[in-house]
Amino acid sequence: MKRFSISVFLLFALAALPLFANGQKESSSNDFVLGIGLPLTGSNATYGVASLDAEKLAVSYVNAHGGVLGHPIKVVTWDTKADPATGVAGAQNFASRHVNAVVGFFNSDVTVPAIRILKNAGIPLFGDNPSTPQLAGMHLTNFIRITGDDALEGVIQAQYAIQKLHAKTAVALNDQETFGEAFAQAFVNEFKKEGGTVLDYEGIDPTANDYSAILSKIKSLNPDLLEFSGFYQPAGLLVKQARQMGVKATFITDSAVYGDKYLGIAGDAAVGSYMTNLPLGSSGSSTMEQYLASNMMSKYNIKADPIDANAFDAVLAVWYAAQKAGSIAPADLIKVMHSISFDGATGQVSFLPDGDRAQVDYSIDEVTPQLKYKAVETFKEVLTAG
Amino acid sequence: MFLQEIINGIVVGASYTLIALGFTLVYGLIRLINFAQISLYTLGAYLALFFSPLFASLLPGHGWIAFGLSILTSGLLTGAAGVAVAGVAWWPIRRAPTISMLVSSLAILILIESLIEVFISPVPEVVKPPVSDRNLTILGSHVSTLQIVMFGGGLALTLVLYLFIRTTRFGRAIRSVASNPNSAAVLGVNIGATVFAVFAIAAMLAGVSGVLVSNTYGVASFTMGEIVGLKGFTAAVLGGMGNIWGAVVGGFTLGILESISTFLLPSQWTAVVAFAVLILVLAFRPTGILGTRLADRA
Repeated sequence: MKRFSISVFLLFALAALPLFANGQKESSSNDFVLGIGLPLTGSNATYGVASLDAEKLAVSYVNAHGGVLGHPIKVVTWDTKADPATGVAGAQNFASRHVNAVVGFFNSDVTVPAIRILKNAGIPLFGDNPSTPQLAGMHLTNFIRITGDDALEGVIQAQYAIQKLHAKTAVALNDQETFGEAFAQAFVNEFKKEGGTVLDYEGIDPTANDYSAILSKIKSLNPDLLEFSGFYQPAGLLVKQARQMGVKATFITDSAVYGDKYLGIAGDAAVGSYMTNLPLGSSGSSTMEQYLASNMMSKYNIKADPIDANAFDAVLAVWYAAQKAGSIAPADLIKVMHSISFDGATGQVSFLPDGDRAQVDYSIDEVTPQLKYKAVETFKEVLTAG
Repeated sequence: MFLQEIINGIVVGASYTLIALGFTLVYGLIRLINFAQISLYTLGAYLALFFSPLFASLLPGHGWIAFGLSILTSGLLTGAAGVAVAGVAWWPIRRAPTISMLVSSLAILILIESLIEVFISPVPEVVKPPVSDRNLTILGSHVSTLQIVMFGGGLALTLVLYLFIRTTRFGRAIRSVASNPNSAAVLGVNIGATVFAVFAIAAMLAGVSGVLVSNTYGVASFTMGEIVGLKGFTAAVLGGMGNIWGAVVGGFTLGILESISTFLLPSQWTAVVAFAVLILVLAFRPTGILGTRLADRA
């Protein structure tokens, strides 16, 4: 029995080793401590790791320009694993470390519970990519986000499908997560409102490999459009298997799918598929956009995408908030965070009282036969609902 | 009417079957539900991620040979990992209660997944098979060449395993240990070696399944085994834990059941239907569809 106990203890101790990767060294009192919560492992790690790279670039930029009111930024990271409970633990960790501000948490379903902890602790959250409409509806005083609202993106997607793709019927699938469900609901509502018919609307298991069963059903429904709301892995598998099974429907998906991984999984099946996207800067040549794009490539060999740009601008927003407040105290940052304005990698950044961007640019991208993304429609400065 | 759904179910069921076989073999022998099996499925996929491009570059223009070598190499190495799993999770605590070994196998599952996450990749990797995957039409239903390979490979491995256990001397040793370890020991069967070998065979099956699935669908992630592993375990229970043909029946039944229920109902109900049927079957046949005797029924 003793041998058993030791064996099992050692096994669990070994298995738990990666957990210690979250351990951080405490900062000096002169630092501006920035908590960054992202999915650095797990199903969304592709986004989280690249977002962290972009945020580190922004931190380097700020520190190179004198830091936050003279205080160098000290980053404390927390791996949320895209799991709400782990995200809440991260928020508690940030609160106990008395960080000055938090940037994160990428996933909407992580951000929603985590922000309650931060609100109670009096810490501002500068959201990078959490896009659920639920966050705007929470009337949070300590929250702004760089990304747009799913509800708006879903509406734009549906309007494009009806007006430009001339789709009359659609099947809408989502990954049953907060982001995907909210996005799909917005798409479905608008598609119906515009006169389209939604033949089927359901959730799929985003961890599955084989979607042939649901694609059989979709094939029998023969829709003009197959819409998917979620992330790149199920999106890539869905379109690949749909084409293998002879599903002819035009495939349209969301901005979270954008990137090389989607193209890698789907291969040639991705050609002719569409997605809503958030172009980096409105002008296409802003200083911050160029800084992000060139440094992401030179330092990390990554082609910067809109998700990275949102992450980058979230850190810049912290910097501008401190400058406006003339203080690095969390309570002072909260007082001014909704009234800042700056030209970031995502274009002109300013906010509404509910924390949403006052203006967000969107595009519709199509995958070309060369497996490249090409913007086929742009929507400039769309005012959010507030 | 449901031909496409049945084909879909058979293809998915083949992957459940190979994992279920591993569960059933080890359970039939030492009454252990070896959850480490799930991580070996993942390990197989990641080994192929390395070996497929290697063999493809060594054998340009011979994609199928490269793919076969990749399956073989990954399967054998996963089998070796299975021996290591037995050495850590079973051998030191072989006289402890089964529940202790169960916990130990869970720890191995977490450990291997975490090691893949930390040392290989925390993000899903795109898998490019060394062969081109073509679409075929059979009686109006669609299936890809790699899906046929996955089904054929699963069936062939099951037959080889069955013949191995029924006709070889070592197979008889396995059956005698499964039937009565004490009598087997008296008859001169090396119990330890037999158990190690069964762990290796079970691991090999899981590893090959991981290679086939990741190449067929084009993705590998360190958590890829969790859902399919639980389905494989469910298939083993459904068919009859400890019975090789039970694993086959359970795997294909579960796959076809999921496929047809997804066609008829919103896909959120797929798992509900599958597990409701499992509960019903167990209510009337607690030992599963075919019962549970590796010793008698191989």
